[in-house]
Amino acid sequence: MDPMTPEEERLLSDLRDALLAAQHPQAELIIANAQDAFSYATLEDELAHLVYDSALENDLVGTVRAADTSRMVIFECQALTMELEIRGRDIVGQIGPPGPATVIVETSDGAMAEVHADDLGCFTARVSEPTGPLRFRVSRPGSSAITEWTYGQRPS
Amino acid sequence: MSEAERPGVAQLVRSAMGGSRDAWDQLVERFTPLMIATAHRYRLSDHDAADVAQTVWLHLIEHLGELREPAALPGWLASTTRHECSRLLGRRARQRPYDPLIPFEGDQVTPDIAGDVAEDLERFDRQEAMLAGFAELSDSDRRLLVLLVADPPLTYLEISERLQIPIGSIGPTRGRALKRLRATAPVSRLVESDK
Repeated sequence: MDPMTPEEERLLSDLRDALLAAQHPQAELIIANAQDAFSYATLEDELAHLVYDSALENDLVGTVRAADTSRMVIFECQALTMELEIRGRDIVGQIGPPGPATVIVETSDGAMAEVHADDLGCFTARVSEPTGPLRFRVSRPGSSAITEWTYGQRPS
Repeated sequence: MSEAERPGVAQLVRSAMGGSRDAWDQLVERFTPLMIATAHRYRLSDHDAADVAQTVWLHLIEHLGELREPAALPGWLASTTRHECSRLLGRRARQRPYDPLIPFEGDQVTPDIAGDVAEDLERFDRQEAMLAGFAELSDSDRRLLVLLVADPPLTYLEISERLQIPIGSIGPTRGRALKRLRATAPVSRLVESDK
């Protein structure tokens, strides 16, 4: 068999080390999930950006709160704002300007739960997998928006 | 597929921006290993590494339309992955109760491990460069190289059977694949810096 040059040997051994570092027991699942996520993407909704996250706020102040049990996040786009309190599996939200809306909570595996906001724009939702990425699609007559992905509450 | 029609990363990005699921699938397959290695470098658990990779891909879907320079995607993925890792680590650190009597908590480096850290950094940089270069190779190059570094090692007969190519062509094909790996920007930077 053709012998390798020292440089080829080095390249292969570096590659071996690199591929070992990239091993993951669920690599195939991670890849499949990310590939599937492309199909759920719709480019028509207005994207609501994260403008406040209590978890990040704590970072800036540098305080340590071991008993952090809930997290506030606010998303904003031209059509609406959305304030969320995420407490474990439970999510309490309010959409502004107030008024009824349909809210679809999406998790990264493509599962969706539909809930309805009341006349004040308030809604509650419950997610099955509280730690993974989540996003919210809000539709009401005349406008629809989708939030950036955010994490659910993390277990400590 | 011949050398000329083999889509490069920039072309894959353009196709994905145009809505091609095939191109997207290839990007995910090529660059997920780099994200996992980066997460491991940050000493994240497998569970957290999976979250980081998923989050970065989801971010990319959101921002795909805004990407001005398709060739810049690898750099964008690398920096977004690092950003996500440190964000996750920050949240972990906050959730750990703080004990003022333990002097070296968290990320502080004590003198006796400083040497190891420098060595690790060098090795991680090397791994990142190799994975970034590897991601630019064609499917067939990547398949062959993966089999060549398999642990336990495979015989040429086994490799020939898996890839359905004659044993005699493995050596020359390996040579060409390594040459292409060597020619990618990340790997050639690495090799130059070794000199």
